[in-house]
Amino acid sequence: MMHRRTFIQTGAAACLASCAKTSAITGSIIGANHSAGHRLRDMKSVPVPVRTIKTDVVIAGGGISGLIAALRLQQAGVADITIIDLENEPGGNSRCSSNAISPYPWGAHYVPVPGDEATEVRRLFEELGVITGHDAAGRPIYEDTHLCADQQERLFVRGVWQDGLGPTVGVSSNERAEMNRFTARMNEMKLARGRDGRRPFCIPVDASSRDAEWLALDAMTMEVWMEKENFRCEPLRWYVNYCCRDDYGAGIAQVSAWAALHYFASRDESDVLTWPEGNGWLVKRIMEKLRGVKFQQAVVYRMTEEGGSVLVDGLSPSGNEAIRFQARAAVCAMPRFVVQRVVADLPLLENLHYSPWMVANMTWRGEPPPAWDNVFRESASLGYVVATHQSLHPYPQNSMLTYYQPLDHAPPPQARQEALDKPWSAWRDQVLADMRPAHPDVMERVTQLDVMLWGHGMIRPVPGFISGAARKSMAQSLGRIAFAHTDMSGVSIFEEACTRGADAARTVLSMIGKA
Amino acid sequence: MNADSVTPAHERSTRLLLLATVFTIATCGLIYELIAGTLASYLLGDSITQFSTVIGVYLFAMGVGSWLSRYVSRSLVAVFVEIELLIGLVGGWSAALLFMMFESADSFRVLLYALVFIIGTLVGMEIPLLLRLLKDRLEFKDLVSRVLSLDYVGALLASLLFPLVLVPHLGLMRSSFLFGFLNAIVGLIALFMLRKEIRWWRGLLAQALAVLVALIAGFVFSEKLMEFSEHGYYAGENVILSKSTPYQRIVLTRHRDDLRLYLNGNLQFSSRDEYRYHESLVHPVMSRVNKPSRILILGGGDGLAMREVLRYPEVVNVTLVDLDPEMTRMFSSVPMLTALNQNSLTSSRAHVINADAFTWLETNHEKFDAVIIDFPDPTSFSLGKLYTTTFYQRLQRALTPDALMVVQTTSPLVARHSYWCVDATLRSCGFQTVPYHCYVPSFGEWGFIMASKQPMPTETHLAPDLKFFTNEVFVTEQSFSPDMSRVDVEVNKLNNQALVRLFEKEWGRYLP
Repeated sequence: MMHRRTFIQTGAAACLASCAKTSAITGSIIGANHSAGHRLRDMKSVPVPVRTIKTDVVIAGGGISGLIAALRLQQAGVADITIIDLENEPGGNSRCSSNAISPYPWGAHYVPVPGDEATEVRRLFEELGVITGHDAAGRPIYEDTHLCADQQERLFVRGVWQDGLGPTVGVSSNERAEMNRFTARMNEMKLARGRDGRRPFCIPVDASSRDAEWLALDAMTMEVWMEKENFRCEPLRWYVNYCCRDDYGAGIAQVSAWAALHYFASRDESDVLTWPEGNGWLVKRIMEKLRGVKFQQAVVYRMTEEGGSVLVDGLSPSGNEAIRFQARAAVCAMPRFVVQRVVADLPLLENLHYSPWMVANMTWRGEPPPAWDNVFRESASLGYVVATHQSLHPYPQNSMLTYYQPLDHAPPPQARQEALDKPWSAWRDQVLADMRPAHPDVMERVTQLDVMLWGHGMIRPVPGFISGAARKSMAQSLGRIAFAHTDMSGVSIFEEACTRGADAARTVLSMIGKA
Repeated sequence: MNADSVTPAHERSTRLLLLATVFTIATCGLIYELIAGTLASYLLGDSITQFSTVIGVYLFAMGVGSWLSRYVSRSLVAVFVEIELLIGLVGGWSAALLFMMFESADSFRVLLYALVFIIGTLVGMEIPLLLRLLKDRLEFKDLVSRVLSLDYVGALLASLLFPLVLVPHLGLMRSSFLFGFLNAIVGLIALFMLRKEIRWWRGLLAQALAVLVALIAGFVFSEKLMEFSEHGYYAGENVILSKSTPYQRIVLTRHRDDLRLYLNGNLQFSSRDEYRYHESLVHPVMSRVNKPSRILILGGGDGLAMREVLRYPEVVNVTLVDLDPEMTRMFSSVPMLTALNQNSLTSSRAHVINADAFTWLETNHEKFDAVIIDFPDPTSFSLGKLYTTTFYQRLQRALTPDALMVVQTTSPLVARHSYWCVDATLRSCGFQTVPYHCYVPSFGEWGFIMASKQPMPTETHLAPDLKFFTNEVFVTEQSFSPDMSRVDVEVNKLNNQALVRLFEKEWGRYLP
């Protein structure tokens, strides 16, 4: 029959067209230097350094913790500082890239407006001009081009976009009531105080109450807590799960109730600060202030103390040459899973879990989506953010969309291996298929799609980790080595990195007699 | 059924096919009716009236068709095939024809009811003819029950398909072509099955193929047809110029002596009454500034605000910042347009810059005595940023201490909250404001807000020979009737876009 033939022909033509379109999208898997990192893991014999560079303080790890430590040390008058990082540029999870359209993030892309306790973040923001002054009541005033512009978030659900991420479309009145009850509960927790007079959930984490009653929440998963508290409706579970995956790379079945509730009850304000390149903007501004501080790309493979100085041995990027940095003191600002292989005499900690992530950056042709954060309800991804959202141009033309997906479908080691084995074309097809329901024209819009894999994206606050002894032990300095990393907080956020970096700087200053 | 076992296979499939035909044509028939009703409500508004009259005429025409069917006595099959092809052709092209007639409401009405009547009549003939074709193939009670039930089920399918699948995924024009195509296919199949009963079936086949080609062509080129007919959307005038730039679609229309400019479908001015708008926009500020020597116009690429500014001989330099180079080029070179703006953009005192205002303000170091802001309405989040505290704060750096500025501020009648939101935003940035409004027939009631850091000067030096604006008129312009008087509204900031949300809500009531 003519009908069927036409149908088959049309179908074949559509497939051909879409296949041709897919192959027109360029891209690759880039960055995240796992091969260099794995060299360290697989190293058979320990290389002997061929030359020694002397410096006042070495900072091993150029993420936010390391950079803040460097900044504070420099401000305290330490003249000669060297930052060593595995990658060829600093920033860690806040790294970014740039092209003709816009700078764009590869990882962390916003910082919530800091509360009163987050003094280190406030201080930094004042120094960087993010806080421009204070109002009559002493509250900080933020540069308004840095505050995330409206429309901030939207959710694609049942074929339509709704404003905000808390589901409203297709939600029954009972479900709505339950969600309101959850919000009310979180607001209560914001106002609650432990027996020590502290907030139960605070940023920085270590300023939170040590009241055992609140800490008991760290013994169970968020899923168990929600069951217990009768928060069971599907839209709410989805939303809470989404938020946990967004902040910790793992859902309510994995993270502890304490960590999940920390996300909801530690912040009084809902505004966030963001930039086209995400927190990469902050990295650039900090690096501008760090002029004079040396940056060296190397794989640190050993940190030891010898005769009153710290020796940091690293392999050059080519892997051919070992260099020794000799310093009066060091800040070790690398993740713990690396640190315990590098620093002599450190115990191997248990219960250390890291969430693997995939991040894709898409070059988007034409008018960008109107919201900053765009989330799909029926998806394993977290959606995407729009790099040009803060642009003040009245008719924005092209953009970069940064797409995030925590790989939490399997235990981290397995998910990590699967991710490493997966070719770029498979990631491309997966991302485009996820985008298509909300953007049927995605094939015509996307011209390039690059992928970055974060094998150990962030610490995962599983039950027992935040309240446990292991985490506490991580903060103790070892001789002339101070430690700084969000692993020590159990919560991988910019605010914690600032606090850890500043704390380590203070420790180092006292070591070298400059405090 | 007993009859089935004795009926030859060929006869059985013919019967089935004819019944399938009933179903298809019932679906098609209702689709055309729905398309006509929808298009009529698009253009003429008042969907209750439109749907009600379209359905009425359609049903009446079906009655006429049924009655006419009695006059078909010979070559029943051939006539049936002809009718199918005709419905396919007329019904299939109906949406496209109506779209093209969009520009004129009167001829649209004539065409609309003519099409509805023709299609209705033809559809009305279908069922009686089919009944007659089937009467020897089925018992009467079966015949009536099957044909009528299929007819009604087909109607249900159409009424569900139309809003859920067709309009959102195919659009009106393509849906119409698609169902025309199905109708013609029904004709073609009937032709093949019953060709033994038709003497000149080859002639009909040629006709059928021609109709199918016409419908497929229409379907394939419907995008082009849409573009073509969109010109007419800008009211009943001839489109004399239309251009798509990276930023907007510029359309100029002319109807007798009335020249109109549309940007992205929004009317920017009508040459008949634009003087009311531009005089009200410019002169309150210009007549009050002490020594208006350096003036800044943001937006206003049509050069009409510039024309008003240049009436003041004290003006030394006018900087006009408009994003779209195509706009300023057209209004500097096309004779019809330069006649309207009196060559203001090519004046030696005019300095035209093509840039977006935010970026330009970043690099500007000049100070201005007066600023005239003639931006498009805040129809998107991106445009809404030009009305925020951030924008007005940056603008302050370009003002002399006693500079005056004015902002065109949408309609305080249609969008009352939007209007007062701009006022609240300016006040929150430390400006004193004078809200006022004037009546522009082609726009309706339109609003402006004059703002300054210092107390507003009282002395005025108004340019001579204005057509509309006087100091007395200005007094009345500052009075607001209760239906548009001040309301308390949130300040518009980048991170709340209060204005865009209000604007969308308020103007949304006026759109279909």
